[in-house]
Amino acid sequence: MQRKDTLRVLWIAIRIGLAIVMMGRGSYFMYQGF
Amino acid sequence: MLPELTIDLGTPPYWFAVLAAVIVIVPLVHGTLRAIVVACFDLSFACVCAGTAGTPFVVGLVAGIYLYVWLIRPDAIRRTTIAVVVIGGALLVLFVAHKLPSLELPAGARGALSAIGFSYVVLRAVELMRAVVERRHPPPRLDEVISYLLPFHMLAAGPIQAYDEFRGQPKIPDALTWATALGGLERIASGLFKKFVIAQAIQEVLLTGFTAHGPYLVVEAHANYLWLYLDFSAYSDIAVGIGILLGRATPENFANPLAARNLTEFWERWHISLSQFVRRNLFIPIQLALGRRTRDVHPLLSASVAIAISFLLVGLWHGLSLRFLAWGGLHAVGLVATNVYKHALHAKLGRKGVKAYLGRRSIRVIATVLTFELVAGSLVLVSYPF
Repeated sequence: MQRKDTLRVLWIAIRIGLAIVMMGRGSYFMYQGF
Repeated sequence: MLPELTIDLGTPPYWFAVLAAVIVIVPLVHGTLRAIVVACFDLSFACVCAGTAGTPFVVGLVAGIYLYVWLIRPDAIRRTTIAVVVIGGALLVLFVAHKLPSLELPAGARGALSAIGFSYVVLRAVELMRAVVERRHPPPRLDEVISYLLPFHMLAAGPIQAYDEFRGQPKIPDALTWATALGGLERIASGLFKKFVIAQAIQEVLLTGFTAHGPYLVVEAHANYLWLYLDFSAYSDIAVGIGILLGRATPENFANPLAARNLTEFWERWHISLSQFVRRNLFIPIQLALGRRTRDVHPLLSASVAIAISFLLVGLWHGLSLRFLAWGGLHAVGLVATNVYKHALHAKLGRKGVKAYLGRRSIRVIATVLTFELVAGSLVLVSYPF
């Protein structure tokens, strides 16, 4: 894995991690209730 | 008695289930029984979302559409007509019931309709039913009906895949490469981040559900549009990312709509799969029918009427209420005005003149700002607690 790919993977992990943390806050809803 | 197991779309358990599903299903992608495995997975996922009480309804829905496919035969016109009227009518009744929560429905049915995103399912059903009756493709197998109607990664909020695209994708996708997988994961990460971090922050900090009055209404109108774009496009990013990982064709649904310079361009960038559905199944057939009736004497009028009917129906698809009808009407008026203006510009300036006019930076900025404001304002119409 090249250095560029490592940074991409790290950025993916950070974003998914932050999303999971925010999911736990319990404030979520879906688009227009479809 | 079976234990009640449900997953509510739009909640963290749903998204964890989707992520888990990706991890489970990816290794199965290249097997010879791929189509059947994928269909079984799609159906199971829809049933879990619908819950124990809603499962018979989901199975019944698939059975109904498959019965339709079986009934349509080129040499049996009467049977075909009955199938179109009965199954099409049943879908319309279910759609109305789904959109009107005050109507009484059998136990589990209402939950199932919401859980499988019936507004989207009904549009896919229309695509499939039309393709079958027009014999554009061989009749689909049961597993194809399931995977087209209930693709697990497109259940929450689309996109609405064209049936031709579904049938056109390779039976066995190309082997997943590292670069492709990384691209798919990036879309999923981008979607999760947009929805649960940025959109959620906007919602928590700026949105009041239009309960704050005065000048803040203007701020909230803009924040509301931004939030809706981030939240809705996030679902599409996740769906596209999962589609890339699984080798399942998944249409793009957004192309930077905030930069649209008129309403026509907006609908080419916002909820693209819905716009294309409307173009294929409403606008073009209506415009052609009107053109035939009037012998194409008034093409601009025919296009305007086709736009108006299409977008009033788009409004009603979003919600069976006067406010959504008004929202659809507002967009219809805007689209007709854009079209008429475009024709007037061409008549006055010619092709080269129009190109030069539209290329001016000041015109682009003014047009983009006006379009942004119009869309944001139209969303207040459907969000404000009147």
